[in-house]
Amino acid sequence: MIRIQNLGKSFGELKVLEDISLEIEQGDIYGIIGQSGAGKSTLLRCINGLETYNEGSIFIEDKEVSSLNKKELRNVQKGMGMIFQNFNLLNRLDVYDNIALPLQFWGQKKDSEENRKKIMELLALVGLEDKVHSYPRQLSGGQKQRVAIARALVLDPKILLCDEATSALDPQITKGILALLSKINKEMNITIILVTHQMEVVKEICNKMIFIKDGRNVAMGRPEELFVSPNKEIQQFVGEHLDILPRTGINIKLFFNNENSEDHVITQLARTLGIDFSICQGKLDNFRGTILGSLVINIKESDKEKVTEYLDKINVLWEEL
Amino acid sequence: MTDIIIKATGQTLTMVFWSTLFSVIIGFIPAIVLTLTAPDGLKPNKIIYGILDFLVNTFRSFPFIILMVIVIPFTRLLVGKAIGTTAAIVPLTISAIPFVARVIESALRGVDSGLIEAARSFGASDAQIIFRVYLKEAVPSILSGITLTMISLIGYSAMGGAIGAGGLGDVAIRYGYQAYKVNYLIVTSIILIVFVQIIQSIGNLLYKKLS
Ligand SMILES: Nc1ncnc2c1ncn2[C@@H]1O[C@H](COP(=O)(O)OP(=O)(O)OP(=O)(O)O)[C@@H](O)[C@H]1O
Ligand SMILES: [Mg+2]
Repeated sequence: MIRIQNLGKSFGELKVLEDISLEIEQGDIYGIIGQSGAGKSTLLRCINGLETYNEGSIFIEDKEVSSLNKKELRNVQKGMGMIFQNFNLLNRLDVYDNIALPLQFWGQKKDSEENRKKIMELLALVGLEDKVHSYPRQLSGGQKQRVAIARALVLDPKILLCDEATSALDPQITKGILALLSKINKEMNITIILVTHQMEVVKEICNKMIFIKDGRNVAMGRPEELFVSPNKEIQQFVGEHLDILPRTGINIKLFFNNENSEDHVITQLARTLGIDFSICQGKLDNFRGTILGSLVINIKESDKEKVTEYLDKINVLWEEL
Repeated sequence: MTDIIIKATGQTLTMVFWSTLFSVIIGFIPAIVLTLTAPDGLKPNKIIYGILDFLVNTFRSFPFIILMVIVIPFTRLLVGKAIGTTAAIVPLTISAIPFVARVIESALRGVDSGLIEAARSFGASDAQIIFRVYLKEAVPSILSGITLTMISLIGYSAMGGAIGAGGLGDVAIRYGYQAYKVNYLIVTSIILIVFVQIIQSIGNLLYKKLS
């Protein structure tokens, strides 16, 4: 659906994106994660033509964005709704008129029977039927984002772009918005690209992700893989430090996947082998409902063979650190 | 006295009303061009912005009393005479245009850039962004700019006496100051103060109501 190849972008001397390649398929919820200033927003803005790029190409269903003329670009933009960290609603328009605005940009009457019905349906979808004629200043942050989501869907897009859509909201409200995005993805079959610096967001709803650092791709894949066995860059990002592990004995990291995380691997290990060990680091995460994680244990040098043999036998993935 | 004051009040109102109207209409154009061509605008253009910016600054710093004399030929061309209330509207308008351009420009540029970005992401054209986003969102601040313009035009119109425009300022100088009739001074001052207060209150009220 979206194919990005060797994308490069500079602002004057400043290189903001370098050699980014990725592929987004229909139905994905694709996470673009990275620290502030990494170039995430710029990447998103390149995708819908708000920003030009210097190198590489972006294909949206076989149309290369930079080669489009003004009219073609407008049509591509029509197929992509966008929501923002600060909601970007017009203060002087009520909820209904805010949602209707994109329709008006496309020469439609906001009060036609068809559009009225559509806007009311969208309001029902985001759960704000009772706020049709409220103004943005009368709404909470979460409600404003819901209005923005309804507005982004009003032109029947195939893709929804979210730039830090939950960064201004508290954790509880964030969960609600993410659930709504998930629902939109499933029920309306809309592909979602989600820029964020919150890894909880990626874990909660993304099925694929790219981690960007200083404009470069440093990790790409499925969140459950990248966060359960993270590379150095991601470890740094999530604040995982290997240097706090004991220096004596042997540190072994166990990975818990879908099948074994519920079982009592650790207690079984101790009981069956009759050994002592300490647990140094542990992390369990919920990836779209699946519990995955890792645990680092410190064992005596002499127990190593026994332990690894046992782990292999019960099919637990491990690595020595 | 009453007749003189009433006549002068009418002249002041005429001058302020028409020069506000014309300067706002004309001042809108450079304001929009400045907004569009500004470095953070929709169509950044250093040259156009630079020239317009320079012109606005220059004309704004021009002393009104001198401007009034300089534009006499132009005034004569436009209204057929260089003296009188109608004639004074021309220099008043001209002096207010750069002021209006600035206040409307700052009102427009005060519109959150995120709104422009959102509009662009939905495929809005530049014209749609100007009318449906910039102008729509900036209405309250534009109105307070116009209030400000009116108030400063009341001040400028007091100098209209120099080209026979009459008005309250003229009465205050001729009767109150030069002929030592203190009651004229007091009455004209009170009327001017009341005008300013009324305009400001209406302005504030509209700002609150619209924003
Ligand atoms: N219009 C611009 N002109 C010049 N530099 C820019 C422009 N937009 C962004 N940048 C720079 O590009 C870099 C990447 O910016 P970008 O907004 O893409 O980062 P981000 O990953 O979205 O960060 P954040 O999490 O803070 O939103 C930053 O160093 C920023 O200063
Ligand atoms: Mg950003």
